Amino acid sequence: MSGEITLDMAAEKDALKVTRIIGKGKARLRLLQMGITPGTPIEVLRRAPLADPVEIAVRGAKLALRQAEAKNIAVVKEG
Amino acid sequence: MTKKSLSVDLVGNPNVGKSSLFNALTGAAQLIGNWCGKTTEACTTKVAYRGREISFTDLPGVYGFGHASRAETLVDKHLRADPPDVVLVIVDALNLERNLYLALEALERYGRVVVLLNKIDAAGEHGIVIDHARLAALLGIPVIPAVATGQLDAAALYEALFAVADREAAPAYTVPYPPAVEAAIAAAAAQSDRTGLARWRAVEAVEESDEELQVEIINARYAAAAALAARCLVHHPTESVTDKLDRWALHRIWGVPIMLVVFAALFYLTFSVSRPLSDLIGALFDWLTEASLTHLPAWGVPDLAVSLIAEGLLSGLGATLGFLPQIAMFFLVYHIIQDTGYIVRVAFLMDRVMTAIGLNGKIFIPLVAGYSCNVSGILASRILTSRYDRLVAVLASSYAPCSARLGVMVFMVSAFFPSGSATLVMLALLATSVAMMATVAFVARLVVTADDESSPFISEVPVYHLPDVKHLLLDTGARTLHFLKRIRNVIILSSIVVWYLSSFPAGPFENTYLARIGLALEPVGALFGLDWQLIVALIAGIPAKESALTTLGVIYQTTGDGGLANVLTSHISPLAAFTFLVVYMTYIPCLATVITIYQELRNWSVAIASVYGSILLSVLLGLLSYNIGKLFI
Repeated sequence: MSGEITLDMAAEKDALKVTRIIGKGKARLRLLQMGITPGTPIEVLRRAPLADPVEIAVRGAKLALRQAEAKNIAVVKEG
Repeated sequence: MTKKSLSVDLVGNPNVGKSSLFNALTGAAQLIGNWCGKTTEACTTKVAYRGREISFTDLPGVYGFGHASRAETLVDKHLRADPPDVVLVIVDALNLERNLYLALEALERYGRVVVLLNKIDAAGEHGIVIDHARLAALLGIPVIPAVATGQLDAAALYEALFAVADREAAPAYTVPYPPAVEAAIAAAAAQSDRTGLARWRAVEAVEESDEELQVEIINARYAAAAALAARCLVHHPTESVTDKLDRWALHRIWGVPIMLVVFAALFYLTFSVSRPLSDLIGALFDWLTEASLTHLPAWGVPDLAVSLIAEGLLSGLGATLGFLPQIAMFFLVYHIIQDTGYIVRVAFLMDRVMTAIGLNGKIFIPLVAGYSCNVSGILASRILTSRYDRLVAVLASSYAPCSARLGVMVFMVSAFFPSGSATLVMLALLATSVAMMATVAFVARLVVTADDESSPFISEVPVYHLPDVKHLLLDTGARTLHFLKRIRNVIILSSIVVWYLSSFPAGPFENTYLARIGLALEPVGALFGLDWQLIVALIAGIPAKESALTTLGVIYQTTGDGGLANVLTSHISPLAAFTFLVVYMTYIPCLATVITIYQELRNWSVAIASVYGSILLSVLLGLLSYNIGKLFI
């Protein structure tokens, strides 16, 4: 998909949409079960002092995850 | 036909207030301090209701039943091995959509489900109002509202549980899956040699065999959850207090300084409240000791028994109980930072630093707590969900010089060093402690294989919430009493042992068994400049750290701190004193800590290994400190 980036590269406050989850097994299932599924709007709220972890907003909830985990979430800019 | 007894399993996302609820339902007294469900165990308690019995089982927090974490594997295995009559799904009203996902999955699997809509009070504060009657109607199962501290209409819940247990019919609601998924489900059901394979087992088979369809299934459940949430949310939230606070609390520049100020304030609070109470307890026991020494002989109690009671039991108990206020304050403070949701922010701020040595950001909490009291640090390690992280946190936090040790260190340092260099010496000791904790963490990382749970950090960032004061105080009181019960026997026993060793054979102190042990070890002590008196002080410090100082007072027969400082400085060189403190800071944490290590990990070999490891490390550091120091003096 054109314009697809992974979430660890995304700028803060951009309106994004999940396209797919990269990776396998437990790590992938964990992200899916927390509601990070294809088509879901997602936003990077802020990054920690050393740029890792990141805080994201998804499905009305806020989650903290590491850049290494954010790398597994492919997104596109919306609009 | 109404059942006489009912088994109910509690299922919910992490941090939905399941444990508070469990305690409220089953009577907190039995469970406080158990903190079960947080890690690996499931725990069960029975409740009597109108001549019938309900047994509740609390399970660890999960996001689904798909084995994405150890907790999920455990919950799924538990539910399969011992299917309950009813699954009680705890739903966080603050986060309806994601919590409904789990409720839908439970409903699909187990049919007999009751939803408990928790934290409706907190949700209300954030402008979220949920029409629970409508949710119940849409799902076709009872939905019972509750507030965050676990208060709810228990009778309504029990009635709902019995009603659902008696019901035969399938639930009214099923998740609509896309046609491709339905086809695969039908195919999976047909493939099974058993007729009438339950629908959920077919769904599960599809999920496990096809990643593409798995995404479709999860997406469909979430779409259903979102649609349900949209129909039941009466009012939508606006920009919250949490957003405003987090702009500062998680600020890239100010977040860490603010955190340090918060911790400093909490430490200050801990000490300013607990110190007067500790002094009071100390004074009470001093008075009791005095009183028994004066009055008991007059009542015809034999001298030996008087000595055992006054010098053994009372002084030993006094030394340990003096730390009870501090433990209580720890429980209070820990409860506050946990319940407000600040703990997650700390982990967020510190994670990158901690990952540098292979640890999780949350480990910062037990390590900091260890400086107040090692027992606190070990208990705080429970916030770590991975067994590996928890082990590292437990081992490392017992190397933080606790306030008992800090007290002795400050006394010795100010006695031996002029005020200018005293600060530097203290800082050097504290830096050593930080280096030790890092080393222990690093070594543990090499020795213990990290399980696959050690790395994921993904966690919710909950909204801030003011804890309920009454609940907070009751819980703190109960946890403190529970802690006291846990250590009581060992403290009494060790007080008697130390008393025996230091009183027999009768005569001058140099004759006692304790002194003889010290004298026997003197050749070893000489390697790092410790005389037998200091060795005896170290031994006496094993049950309770501050006893080291009181024992030195006994040996040198001094009264008051000033007297002891003078005697010590005339007997020992500053280098030997410094070396003593390095050893003192490192060797065996107090007995209460060792017991807590065992009780938290349920593993004697780790507890014993930690004792030997600390002795080894203290000898090494002592040798280094004394012999390097000698080169410069």
